Amino acid sequence: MARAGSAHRPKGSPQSRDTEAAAARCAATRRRVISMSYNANSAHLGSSLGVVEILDAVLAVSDLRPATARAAERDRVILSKGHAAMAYYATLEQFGLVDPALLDVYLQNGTPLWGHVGLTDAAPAIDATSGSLGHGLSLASGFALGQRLRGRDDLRVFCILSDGECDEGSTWEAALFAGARKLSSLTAIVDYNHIQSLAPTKEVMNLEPFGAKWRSFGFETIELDGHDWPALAAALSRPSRGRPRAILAHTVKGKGVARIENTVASHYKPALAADLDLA
Amino acid sequence: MRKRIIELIEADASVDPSIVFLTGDLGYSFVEPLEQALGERFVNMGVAEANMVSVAASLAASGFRPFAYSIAPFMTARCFEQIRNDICYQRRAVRLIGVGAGFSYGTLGPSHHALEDASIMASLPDLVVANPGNATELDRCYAALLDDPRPAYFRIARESGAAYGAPIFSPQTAAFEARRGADVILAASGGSVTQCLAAAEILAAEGVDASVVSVPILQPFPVEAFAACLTGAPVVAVFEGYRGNPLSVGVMETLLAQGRGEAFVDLVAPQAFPSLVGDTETLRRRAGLDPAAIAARAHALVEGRRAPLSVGRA
Repeated sequence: MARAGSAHRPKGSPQSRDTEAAAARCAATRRRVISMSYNANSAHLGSSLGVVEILDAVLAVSDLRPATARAAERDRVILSKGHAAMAYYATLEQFGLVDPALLDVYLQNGTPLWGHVGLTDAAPAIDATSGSLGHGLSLASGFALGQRLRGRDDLRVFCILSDGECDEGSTWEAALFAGARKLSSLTAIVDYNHIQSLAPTKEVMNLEPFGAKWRSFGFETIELDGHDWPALAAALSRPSRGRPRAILAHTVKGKGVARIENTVASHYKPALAADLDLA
Repeated sequence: MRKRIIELIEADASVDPSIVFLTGDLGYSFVEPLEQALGERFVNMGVAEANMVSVAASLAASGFRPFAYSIAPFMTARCFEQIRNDICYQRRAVRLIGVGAGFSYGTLGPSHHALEDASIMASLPDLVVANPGNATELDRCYAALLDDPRPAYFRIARESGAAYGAPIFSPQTAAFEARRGADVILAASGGSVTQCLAAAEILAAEGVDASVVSVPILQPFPVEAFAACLTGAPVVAVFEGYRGNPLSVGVMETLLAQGRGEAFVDLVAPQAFPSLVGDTETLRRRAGLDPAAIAARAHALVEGRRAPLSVGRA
């Protein structure tokens, strides 16, 4: 499964056929997220709906497939914003990386998929636990360091963060480390929906100038529309520039369910029966 | 002791290319040979312990054998959640090394003392806590945990400790008599074993024959091996840490669970930050954890038991 060539060879250009297939997967993922939230009465609906295109593009660009999920040397994907677990599980479903039956019984007692991401034999594609914010970029950096020590910088590590977890000092410890070590296999994607747990990020803890921060830590930094799948796929698969990459993906929290879009409440309130018809 | 664990890792690394050593920018004058030996597998992670621990977790997930090294409070309290979630919850076999057990760093101040580290590490699922009292015990602990799939915390004192011998042990059998005696049992771990051996000499001069039981692996507590060292004589637990430390708890649980009824005294450090400067020996003396204080408490316990109609209690 070793990839030919050195760094970050694009695995598929974001052509229209890919884009159409991705749009179909993302629509299915949203439907699944809404039904999971409704059935399990689960929070974090808005967090999950907003990150669907990011997760799909990351999985599409990565080499994570059913045949590679248990391989020792493969790309790594970490959802650091572990509260978007529903979107993660639903995206894994689209790529054949989790048993769909487990999503039907999401959060029922005795089932393996928690409300925040944990390691489980039921989904060996999951590379890290998350749920407490600010751990993922360090865990991702550890995988990238391991790849570096094995001379496998061609393998990739993708880490999806929330904007809120960029308040955490440990996120910046990891960014400093990855930048200083030029961990070029690492790509951080920030789901920049501009809303955190209690209020807009610019009111709670303004992150701007956000891109300049990442650049100053040694990251190649790209800002884009986090619902623009072709743009995401292109940014994720473009050749390495010899340093880690940060993609600031501007998103709409709750994307796809108009009544909750861009609301703080979408972090807490589960889907309603009426939402099932919308998606 | 710091030098010895570096030597052990260096020897191990010479036969195992999967060892990676991470340091939180510490180990001046000790770690340089390891840096020479390991090359790019020696990584100075800077003054960023939380990141270091999570990076170590993912290195373990990638098939490496990572060690993470810092001063004990920075290795445990600073990054407790990273140890909890990224190492223990994920079951990553990282070796955490905290140097400066107990009052080791004396005059450097309470920021550098390690009195709660063993307790908080022992509170975590699946984390083995090793607390060797001299180089022999350190060698035995290192060997006992060599292929253990669990993560482990090595609590390392600055001092070398007395040169008492130690049998080969596993985590299940890590309790043994460092000194044999009939009148009182001094149960200790780490540097406190050396203090207890000195206390036993004082007691011997006073006509009290003390046993010293060393417990170099505290978590999981070696219940059966410790119980096998009990004789019915009163027990004094001695640990350079606060109340509720894993030695005290393990000894008490063993005594209570077996309904043995031995008289028992728990000698620990007062749960307070000292306001006045003290070197290691002074801090130990103030805490009542020096040989003279240990001997006095043990002697009193033995006398109390010898007195007619007395009930064994502290």
